[in-house]
Amino acid sequence: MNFMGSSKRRVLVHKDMENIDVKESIDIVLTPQFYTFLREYLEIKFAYQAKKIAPAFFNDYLNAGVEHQYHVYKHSSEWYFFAYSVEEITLFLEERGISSHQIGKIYFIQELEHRLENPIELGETIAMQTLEGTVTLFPKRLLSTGIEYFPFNLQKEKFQHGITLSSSYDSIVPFKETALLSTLLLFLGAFFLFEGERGRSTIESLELSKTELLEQNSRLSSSLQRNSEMKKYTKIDQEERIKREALMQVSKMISNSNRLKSLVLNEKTIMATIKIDSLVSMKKLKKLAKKRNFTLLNESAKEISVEKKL
Amino acid sequence: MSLIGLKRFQNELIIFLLLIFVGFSFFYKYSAQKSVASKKIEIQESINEINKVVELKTFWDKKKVKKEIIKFKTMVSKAKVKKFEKRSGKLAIIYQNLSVKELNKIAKKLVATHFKISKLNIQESGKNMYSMEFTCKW
Repeated sequence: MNFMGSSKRRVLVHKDMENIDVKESIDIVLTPQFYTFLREYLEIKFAYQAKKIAPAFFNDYLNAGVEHQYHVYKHSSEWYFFAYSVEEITLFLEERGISSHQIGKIYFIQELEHRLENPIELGETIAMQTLEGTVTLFPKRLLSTGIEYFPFNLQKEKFQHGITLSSSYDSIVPFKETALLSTLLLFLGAFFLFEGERGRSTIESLELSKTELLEQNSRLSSSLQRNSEMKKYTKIDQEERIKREALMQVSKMISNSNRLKSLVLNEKTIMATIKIDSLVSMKKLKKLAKKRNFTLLNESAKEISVEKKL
Repeated sequence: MSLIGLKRFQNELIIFLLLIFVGFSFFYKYSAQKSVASKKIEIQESINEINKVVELKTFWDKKKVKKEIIKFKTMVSKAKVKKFEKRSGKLAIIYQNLSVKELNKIAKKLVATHFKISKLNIQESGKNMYSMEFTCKW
């Protein structure tokens, strides 16, 4: 397990390198044959600002016909600028047996400028050494004969400024923003899924109470049956309530000054005849009957007949 | 698109896929909530309907009515019950010589009992005396 950085195999990329047979992903370390390096003192704070102005620095050094990518980082008080062509590198590596999808991180050998104070050999004709702070390649024949080359193990060296192949292309969305946005989107998506699922679970309790109710009244499980019973009982309920209400209304018309002579009620009407003692109570009764929507059928000095359709 | 091409737009691809995921999950949430809301209304309506039918059936329960019917025979003296005919869900009663108090008592019971009143006829038969006839069904 590695929490600190990449544990992949590292391969130093130079023109004299031999073919490699790898199946897993690897990190590559570029030699100056594959990049152009510049260093500048600049009063800027952030890498993205430096990266923005990087192409301007390389105007006079690069072939305009080739698409280049740029990498920058701050080293002490200087900004280090690298220009490289991913296409050139990937094509070269394909020839050496490394597919582009196998490329993990890309490092620049310039990072090891202090470790390369002594020359190391790259193949039969070329050596590499830091000269005036810049890692440089030169023919071995320029070195004095019998020189001892520095034993160099790339796997043990520490690199900090690696870039991925995708980020090297100057993506519209940089890696940090991608990570942040992805996390946010992931949370948002998970939240929506959770909310949707929560909504579904709230219905379960309601379903349970319906099931319990139906278990107690199994005959009402069909909506047709329910509708039929509802119609039947609602009709009875309404009709009977109206009849009883009408009876109560008639009973309220009876007082000490009058008395019931007859009352007839059937499915359609209610008719009552009431005997009256005085003219005052006659007026009062007529008013009351009218208020309760009774129709006056007969009226004499001593009695009154009222009727109401049910 | 080659692998390089894919790697080149890896960040954009990740964001694009996550946007699709968010869109899908939002649609899931929206449709789930919509279906839950309509399902909730549907279940609540069914529950209300069942409760209403149960309430009405209990109110107009035949068994209860059968127990209550017999009281109409015993509420007044036997001599005043001229006819008491109970036959398969139907009752016909004729009372005679009822006092006002007895008439009120029977009328109250009539209104409070949960059966269908088919016919009711009250007639004054003398001074403060009444005859009463009613038919009911359940």
